[in-house]
Amino acid sequence: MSYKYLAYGIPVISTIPLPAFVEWPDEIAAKPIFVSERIVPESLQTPALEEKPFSTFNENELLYLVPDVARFYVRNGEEITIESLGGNWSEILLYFYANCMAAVLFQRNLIPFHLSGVFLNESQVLLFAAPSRIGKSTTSVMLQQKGYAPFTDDTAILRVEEGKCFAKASYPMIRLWQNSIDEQTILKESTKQSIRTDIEIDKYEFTFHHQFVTEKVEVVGIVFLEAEGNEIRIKKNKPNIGIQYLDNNIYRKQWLNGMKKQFLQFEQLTGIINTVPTWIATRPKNELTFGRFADAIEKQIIEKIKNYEFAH
Amino acid sequence: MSSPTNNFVMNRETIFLHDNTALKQIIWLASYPKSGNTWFRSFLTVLLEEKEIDLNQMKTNGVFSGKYHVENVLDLNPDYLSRRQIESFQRIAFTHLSAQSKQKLFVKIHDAYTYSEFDGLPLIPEKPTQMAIYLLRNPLDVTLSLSNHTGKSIEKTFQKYLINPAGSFLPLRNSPSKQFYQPLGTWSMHVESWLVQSQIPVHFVRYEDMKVKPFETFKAAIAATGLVFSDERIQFAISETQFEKLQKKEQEKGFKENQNSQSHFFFKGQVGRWKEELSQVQIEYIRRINEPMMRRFGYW
Repeated sequence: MSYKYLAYGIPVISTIPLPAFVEWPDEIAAKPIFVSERIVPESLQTPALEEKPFSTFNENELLYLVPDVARFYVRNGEEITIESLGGNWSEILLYFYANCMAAVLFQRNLIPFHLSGVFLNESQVLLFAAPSRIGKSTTSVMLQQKGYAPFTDDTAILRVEEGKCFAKASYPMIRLWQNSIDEQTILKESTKQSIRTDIEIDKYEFTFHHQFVTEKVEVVGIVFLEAEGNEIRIKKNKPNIGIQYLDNNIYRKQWLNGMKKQFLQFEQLTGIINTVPTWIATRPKNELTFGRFADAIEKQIIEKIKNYEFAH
Repeated sequence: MSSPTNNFVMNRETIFLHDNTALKQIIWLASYPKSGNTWFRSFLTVLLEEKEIDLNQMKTNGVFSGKYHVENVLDLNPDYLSRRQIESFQRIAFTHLSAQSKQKLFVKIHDAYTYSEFDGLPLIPEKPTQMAIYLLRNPLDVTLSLSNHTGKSIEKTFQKYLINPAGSFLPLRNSPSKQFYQPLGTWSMHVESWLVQSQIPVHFVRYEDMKVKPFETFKAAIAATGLVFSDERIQFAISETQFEKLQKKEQEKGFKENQNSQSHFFFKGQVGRWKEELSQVQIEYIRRINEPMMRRFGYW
C-alpha cells in the first residue's frame, strides 16, 4: 500500500504513514519523493565529501544513523529509505521529517530555512526566522491568537520569481513546549499529542491540516527573532545585516559545503534579501513576554506593511 | 588499506572508529557556578588573542551542557532526546569535536564529575580530554554571588544549591533551555567529585589565589595546560581582565551570559563578603554540610 502526500509543495509517495504531512491523492506534475522502509546501504555509492558521527554525505547522497533508532538513506532528491534499528516510530519519523526532508531538498537545489509564519491576508505571509528555542513557534501562535492564520511552524523553502519572494510551507504541525502552551489560548490542551510516545518530553505537537496552504505564497517580510537583554526592541535591517541573519537561519547550514551548495546559497540569499524587507525583533531573555512581543510585532511591523501595501 | 573517505561504512563501528582516532584536545574549565570560571575564560581569551576583550566574543569553546554541540555535530534536534541519549550523544559529539580540532579546545563545564545510571561510564568523556582546570571559591562567598546571579534570596540559594545533594542547573527532563541538565550536588560533593576521580588529570585553582597572587596562580594554571606564553603576555592578560575592567565592559556593552536582568554578572567579585553579609546561622549551615572540602582547600 502506498500513501500520497504533499510537503514543501512536493508530492511524496510513501509505503509508511507520514501523519505530519497533508494527504494529497491528486496527480501533480512535479517529480515525487519516494519513501520506503527497506535495508539501507552500508555505504555511499560515490565518495563522501563529509563524514560526521551520524551523517555521511556528498552532493547526491546522505546516509544518517542514529544508534539503536534507525538508519536513513537519501538519494538524488527522489528516494528516501528508512531501516528501523528498533527505535520507536514516533522518534524515527522525527529524523525523517527533519534530516531526510532537508537532504532531499538540498539535493533538489532547494534551501530550507528555520521559519515559522502567519498569513497577513489570503495571499501574503510574514515569516519569523530563528534557530530552535528562540520562540518562532510561540511568536507565531501568539499572532494566531490575534487572528492571523498559521502558515508554517519550523521550516519553509523560499524562492524568488519575477522580483517577488515566495514561500512554500513544510507541513501542518506546530511543536510547542508546555510553558508556551500555558501562555496561549487557541491551541487546546486536549488536542496536544506527544512528540515521542516512548518517553515523556514537555514539548507537544498540534496539527493544523484543515488550515494548511500547500501553494506558494508571497513573502512580505522576514523577522529575525532574538532573545537577549531586558526589553522588547524592533529594528529594520539594512540588506548587508539581513543577509547575515538569513544565512544563519539556513536549516542544516552545516551541510552546505559537503553537499556543494555554496553557489546556490549565495544566489538564494542575495535574491531573497534584495526582494524582501527584514527586521530584527528582540525580546527579553528568561522572561515570558510573548504576548507583548506579538503586540509589538503587530504594531511596528504588520501595521506598517499593511499601510505601505495600501498606499501602493 | 582503503581510505575511510572512499569506503565509509555507516554502522556502530564507525562511531567507535571516531573514538579511537580522537586527539585529546579538550581542556575542561570546570567549576561549581560563580567560582571564577568566566574570569578565567576572559583571561584565556586575552592571553590567546593578545588584545582587549569583548565579553560577548570569548575565544573559549562553549559549554559542555550546551545543546548547540550535539545539535551541530550530530545533526539532530536535542530537545527530543531521552536522558540516555543525551549522555551518550554528548560523549560522541565532544569526541568528534576534539578529533576534528587542530588546536586545544577550552570547554566550560559546571557539571559535577558523575557517572551514567545507564552504562556506568563517566558522563564527561575521557578519550578527548587532555586535562581539567578546576576553579573553586569559598562556598560562603559563592552563596552570595549565586544569589545575585539567580535573583533568589540567600536562604533559597544555599537551600536549593550549595547544601542540596540533588542540586542541579535545569531539571533532569529535557527543557526549553539552550542547555541540558547539569548535576551539581552540594558544593563539597562537586569539588570532591573532581578530586577523587582518576580518569582526568586536574589542576585546582582557588579564586582567592587568583585575587591575591594572580601572576603565580595564572602562570601555574597555564603551565599545567602545556601551553607556553611569556610572562609579559600573562601579565598583560591578567591586567586586562581585572574585575573592575570586566565590570566596566559589562556596564558599557552588556554580557549575554548574565541571567539576572535586575543585576549584573560581574557584581562585586570580593573575597570574604560573607563575613559581613551572611548570618551566623547561615554560615554554620553551609559550613556543616560542606565541611570536608572546605577543610581540604583551606576554607575552614
